[in-house]
Amino acid sequence: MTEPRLPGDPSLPDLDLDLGYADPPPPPGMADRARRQGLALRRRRRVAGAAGLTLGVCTLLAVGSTVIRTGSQPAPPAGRGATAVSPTTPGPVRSTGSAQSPRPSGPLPPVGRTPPIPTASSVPGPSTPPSDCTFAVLTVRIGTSQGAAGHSYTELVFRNSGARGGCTLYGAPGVSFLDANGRMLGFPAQKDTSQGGSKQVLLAPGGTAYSALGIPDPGVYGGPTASVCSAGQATQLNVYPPNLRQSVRVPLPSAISVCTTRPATATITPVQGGRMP
Amino acid sequence: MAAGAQRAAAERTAEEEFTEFVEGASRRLLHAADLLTGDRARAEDLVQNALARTYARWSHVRAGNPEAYVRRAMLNGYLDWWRRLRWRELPLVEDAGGAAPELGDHAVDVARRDAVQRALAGLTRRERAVVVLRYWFDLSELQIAEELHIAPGTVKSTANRALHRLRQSDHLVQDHRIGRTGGTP
Repeated sequence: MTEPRLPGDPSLPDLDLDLGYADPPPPPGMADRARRQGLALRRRRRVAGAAGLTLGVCTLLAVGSTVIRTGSQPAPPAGRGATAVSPTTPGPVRSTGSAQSPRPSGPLPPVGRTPPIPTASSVPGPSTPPSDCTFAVLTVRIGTSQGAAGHSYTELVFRNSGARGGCTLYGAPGVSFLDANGRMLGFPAQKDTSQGGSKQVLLAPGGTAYSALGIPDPGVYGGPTASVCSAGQATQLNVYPPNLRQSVRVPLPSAISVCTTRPATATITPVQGGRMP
Repeated sequence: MAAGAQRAAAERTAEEEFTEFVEGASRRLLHAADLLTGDRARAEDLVQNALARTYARWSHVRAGNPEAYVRRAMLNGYLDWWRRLRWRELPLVEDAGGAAPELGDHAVDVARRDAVQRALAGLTRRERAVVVLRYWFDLSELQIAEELHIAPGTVKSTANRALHRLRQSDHLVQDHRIGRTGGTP
């Protein structure tokens, strides 16, 4: 059992694997929820334990009484005793299930979580996040496309389809390309601030904002020095709107070839109000 | 009377300890769960359930190493198909609105996360677990073997296979290299 891990042990290469990235903060009230859930779990266990114990005692009594009743007959009761035991053995298992089923362990009600309900007039103060549109109201689609030298720009349109209030977007979305099988192609788009930095965009109900997705043309990278861009056919985009950790897949109107190698990574601008000019 | 008060005080500190522990450890655990599941909502469920299990046994756990206990509970939830089934049935917390004020621009974060997740996506559950224990929790082979109830040799071969695949997938390595040289290769 003594197996020291040598630093240069070839069997476990000391690859400097960096698994870190910025996380959103933990959701509030984790401890409280764990408490509620844990108490329910404990209660359930106790119920199950008590049920098991009762059943065990019953089984013992039953077996005991069978043995006592049939004590005078040596041969047959062994068999009968065995049959008396066997149906009860699945008992505790079943009782565990029934003790659990009525309590679908759903102690995760969104108590205390008060999502900010923005109104069209209120530009969020310092306490609200700069970007608070969620998928409750936000829809994403592909808008217009423009060609340029070596690039095409595709408009990602964010629309507030909610009826009640406005919400805000701030910053660039996370965008990556998916092939027909839903596998990711190449690298996610890099933020491009050359057209302007991040600013907060207020989306009134029905309002739109856009981000321009710059897609390098793989053909351009086929030159003598750059045999580096191998291309793949993307049929949809995976889009994480600013500040959201959930993505939406947006089908592309037609498959486009994208570079799957580094030098020609797609770019994405921060969200701007209105539509792409 | 005095004994009752004392007991109440002890319980209160146990509660406080639990809250403190959760606040201190949840970020790290959530990150690990995110690495395992590749999905933030599922990661939160996984950690939440592990914490609940920990709380249910808190009076025993607090004396030992709570983080190890939660980690174990989490890995059990992740690796054990039976528990996995039940865990899937739990309602997901729709936490899309979970406010994250400091994350205004997260294209780069997302890119980084995507690279890591994409590299990990090709691994089996056990390989993923070994990689996360080794490179996120920084455990030794031996500790991993104990944690997962497998032989040290199995840990070694699993890690080896996992790293081989990570190399092949290239996302992580390339991303890392880029990160270090600062942009253009």
